[in-house]
Amino acid sequence: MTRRALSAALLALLLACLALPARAAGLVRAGAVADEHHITLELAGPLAAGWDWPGNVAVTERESPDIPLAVTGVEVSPDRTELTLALAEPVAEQGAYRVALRQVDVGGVRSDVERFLVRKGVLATLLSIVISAALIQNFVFSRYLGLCIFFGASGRKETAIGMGFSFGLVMTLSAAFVWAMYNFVLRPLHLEFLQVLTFVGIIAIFVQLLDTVLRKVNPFLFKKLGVYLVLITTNCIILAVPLILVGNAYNLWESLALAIGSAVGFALALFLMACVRERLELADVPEVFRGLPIAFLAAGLFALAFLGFSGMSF
Amino acid sequence: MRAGEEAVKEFLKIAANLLAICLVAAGLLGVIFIHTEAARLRNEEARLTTSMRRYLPQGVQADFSPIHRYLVEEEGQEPGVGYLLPTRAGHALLVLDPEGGIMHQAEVTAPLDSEAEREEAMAHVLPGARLHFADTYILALGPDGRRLASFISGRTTGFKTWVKLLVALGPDNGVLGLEVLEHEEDPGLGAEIEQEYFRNQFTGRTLEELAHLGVVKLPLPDDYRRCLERSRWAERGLDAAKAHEMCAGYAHEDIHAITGATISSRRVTQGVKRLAGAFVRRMDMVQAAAAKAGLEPAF
Amino acid sequence: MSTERSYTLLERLGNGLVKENPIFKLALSMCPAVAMTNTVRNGFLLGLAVLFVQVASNVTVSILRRGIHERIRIPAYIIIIATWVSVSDMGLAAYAPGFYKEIALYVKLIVVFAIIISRLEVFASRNPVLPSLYDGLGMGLGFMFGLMLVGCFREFLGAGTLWGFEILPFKPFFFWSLPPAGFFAIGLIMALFIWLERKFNAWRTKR
Repeated sequence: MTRRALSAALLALLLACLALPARAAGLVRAGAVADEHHITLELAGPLAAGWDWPGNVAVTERESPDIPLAVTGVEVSPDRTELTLALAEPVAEQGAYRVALRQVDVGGVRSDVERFLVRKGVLATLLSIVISAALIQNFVFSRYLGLCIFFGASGRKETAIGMGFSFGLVMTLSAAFVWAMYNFVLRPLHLEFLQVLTFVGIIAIFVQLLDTVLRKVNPFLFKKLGVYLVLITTNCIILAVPLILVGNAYNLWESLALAIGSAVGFALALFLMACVRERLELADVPEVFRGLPIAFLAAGLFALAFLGFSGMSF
Repeated sequence: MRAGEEAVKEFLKIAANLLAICLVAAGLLGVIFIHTEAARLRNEEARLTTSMRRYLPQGVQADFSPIHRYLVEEEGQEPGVGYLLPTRAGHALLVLDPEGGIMHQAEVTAPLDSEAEREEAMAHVLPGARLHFADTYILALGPDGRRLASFISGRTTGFKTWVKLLVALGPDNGVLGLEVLEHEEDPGLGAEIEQEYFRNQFTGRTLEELAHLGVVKLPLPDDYRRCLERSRWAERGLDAAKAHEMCAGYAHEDIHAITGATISSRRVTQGVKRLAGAFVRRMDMVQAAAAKAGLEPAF
Repeated sequence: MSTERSYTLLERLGNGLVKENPIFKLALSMCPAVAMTNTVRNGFLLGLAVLFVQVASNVTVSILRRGIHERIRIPAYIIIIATWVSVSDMGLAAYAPGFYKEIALYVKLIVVFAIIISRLEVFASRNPVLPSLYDGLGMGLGFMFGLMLVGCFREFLGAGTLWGFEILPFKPFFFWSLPPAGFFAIGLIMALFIWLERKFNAWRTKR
């Protein structure tokens, strides 16, 4: 009872840490990139009247504090607690921008220079990684990875769900370990060239673990999954995710987000395909196309549909 | 008891077997790594130098001087921009604030050939500061010290992830050319930014023009394409003069976007504008600051 | 225990190219066949890397087949494949950086290609070195042949070129250059193979 309560409390604390946006102690409470040409700032109080913006607003990219971005206008909301800065050049949602407001009077407090770093919150970044890995850059339909297992396990809906679930489990655990291994062992010792070897090793160990655990805990599911469990080791996606998180230098949370997103995307792809293939079995397919060829054509149609997500950013 | 012992012995034998294989594999990889890493770095440098030489006048001996730019963040201070410059005496580190004022200056005598050596030398001069590598400017200097060309490498967001660009500017800061070093765009669509018919549209633009350059979703006229594909001038019977005659009218148009890859085209154009503009601004600041600091830059 | 059959080079080549073609018959390792076949050259380069890893792994496992304990054979195979993949990755990066950039992610993924580990399990662990070498060659070449066939189809229809050489001055059907077209191409070619096989079998039984 106490153990459960303790773990629940820990989880709540963790979530709270993640959820709390970077609340600045200053006059600007929050900021975000609204769209390609606008940045919005939320002030801690109402802005005093008579503030002239030309010459008192400076926006720079975080990596280039010496190149000011041209501000073409500043709009103040009716209640005077929100500012919208209009910029001449496009700004990226994933970018970080330093905003400096000079000679401002907010809620009675005067400040010569008020600085704020506008960037995407932690939760928002993680969410965008999950959605990107699941839909926009779906590993099966947009990156064309994991196809052998995809065609093998998408015959029936139940197998698809079981496969998706075990894949998610292995993926998340492996991602965490791979991140730790790479950042605490391989990089400090300059052994990056061993990455393929170690990643595959870690994945193989986790698959073995899952195999043994499942055998004891849920023999029914184990029987259903059968050979697919071993096949997870030879799945392109399971190695691609560690390679990507290492290549993009993700931190631990971002790596987990990528793993979860990829698992969700893979499960979604499997499920959709299973639905279609079950129907196809009852359809009148020409003899030479029966089985795999028609499945490939169906996958191609899905891939075309997913092309529609391409380029979206969340 | 006996069976347990047997099982343990068996397990140890298996584990030893696996460990032996792992160690041999790791050892083999280590040996190959040592051999190939040197070759890899040399090849990368050679490729960069070859692509840079294409923009220099033929037969002129050129010296490539790199300027490395870093973001310097110190406690309680404004973030500054640090430049590792080549000087007549060797190298110098100059840290400027956003307006161009000098925050730190120091002569650096340590070797600066690799990334690690550079970071070490800088950490020595600026203890406790957080350094973040930004980009590198390579200046090609002629035998008399005159600037022949400047090469700016930087990255910009592409349609997929990043696109690494190399922009070549002439001595008057007009665009000599654009190279795409790395990208992850879709083949046949965004990957077309590597093609001459896209990249060469930037060649010959002045800095003024670049600042106002836009992207239009119009198809590329056939004769313009033929002028742009410089590597095929010979087989098409064109040369610099004829191409100029044929396409003088197109030279000041906006960039024609790649069919099916408007976003990639727009983002690369933005990137080129930003990189070139930032470079010119920064070189002015660096030269002014270096003069004030009494450093003699080698460019 | 090796079988009584004698495996010759020609027999293994025929096996790999047609009878048990990894892509069209065994339907293994299709990720690169879909993603990397927009041009013939990409298919060729990746096929070359796979050929090298397949042959090297086949030979290594065949040499070590008595030394690898039965219980750990899968992890051992994976380690051996991973080693050879890392070798080819480093080799390509060092000596052919232009090619390497185009196929970088897929070279690292060769480790998880089912075709390689399946050949080790099915053939190399039970046969002497020379037949394993032939088998590796056969399967690797079959894989390369498959990739290049799809590549030819897609590059010609999609871009009007073959290996970068312009055959048609226009793009007949650009759809085939798009990434999803890989699925359609493989589906159609697979169906073609099945049809050809049926015709061949029918012709043989008629004789």
